[in-house]
Amino acid sequence: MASPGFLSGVPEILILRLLSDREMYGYEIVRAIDVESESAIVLGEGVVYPILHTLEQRGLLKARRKPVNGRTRVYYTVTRAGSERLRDVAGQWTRIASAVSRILDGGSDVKATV
Amino acid sequence: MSKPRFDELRERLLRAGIGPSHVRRYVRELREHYHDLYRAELARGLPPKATEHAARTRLGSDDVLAESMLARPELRSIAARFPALVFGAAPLLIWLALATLAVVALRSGGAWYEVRSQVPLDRLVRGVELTCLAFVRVLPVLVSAGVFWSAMRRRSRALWPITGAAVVTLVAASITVSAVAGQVGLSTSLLPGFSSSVVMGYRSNALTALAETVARASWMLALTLVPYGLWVARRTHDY
Repeated sequence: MASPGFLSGVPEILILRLLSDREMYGYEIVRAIDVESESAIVLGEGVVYPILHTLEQRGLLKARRKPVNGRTRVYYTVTRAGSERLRDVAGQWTRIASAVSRILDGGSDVKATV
Repeated sequence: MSKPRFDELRERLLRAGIGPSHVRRYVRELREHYHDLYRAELARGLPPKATEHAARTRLGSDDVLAESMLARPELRSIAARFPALVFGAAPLLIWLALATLAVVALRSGGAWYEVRSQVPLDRLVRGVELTCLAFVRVLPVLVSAGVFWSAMRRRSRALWPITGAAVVTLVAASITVSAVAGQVGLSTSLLPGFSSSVVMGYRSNALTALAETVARASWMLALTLVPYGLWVARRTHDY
């Protein structure tokens, strides 16, 4: 079973990464995570929005309303602060993921701090 | 397709102190998301009723949707975190700031007019008196209305909004504006020793003045408190 604390930052990384390519709305983000992760990571449909609101409040995302086919959607994009945050957390995640892989492969010289 | 309204979810989040702008956008986004899920389920060939059920299930129950928002305290509004400050103290501070600005503007404006304008003095004094009256009789009512409107939007508890509005109206109602001998004066029954530098009025009977103040404040407060009270009663009945 995954530790909630250990994985709590995963949605943030995934969202920042996906939005760094192009602006998206909530439904698109959930679908993209499902497709890109080949359904290995399934984000709750409705619970993606509190994460988006928090990231926006922290200045990592920018939201704008956009009318599309008679409907008004809220699109999100990454800010400069969001891009910097993505670089930081992606680097941390890569180090942790490699450390975990080395342990699983039976390595003994692991120095990463989680 | 019948779109879910999320009324209960909205009420629950507002009562828990989530900022109204976040709640409004969350509900709007959930509706749009539901619409997308509905279309996706419909494309799979489900009948309409089953499609609605499937879309609502995939979106998540009200409990799940509420908990995911409530787990983020950073989305709570400032008013929910510091109600005494926002509803209790801020209205008086805002009113005092506006009133002080008005007094400063009137004094400098008066000095300017005295030198350059041809406006008759009595008309000028009357204009200043009416402006002062607006600030001590009308503005407090508007400030109270703003306090109650803000409290309604946030589904805040009534204690601090009522306290804040009552303080503003009481302080404002205590002020008497008088125009005598070409000057406009302000005095307050709450501080019998206080007077502005141009005050003309002097209340010899402090108790009578205080009673008048309370009566005036009650009328001013009632203008906004009664509609607010009715709204609170209706909400309590509905939820």
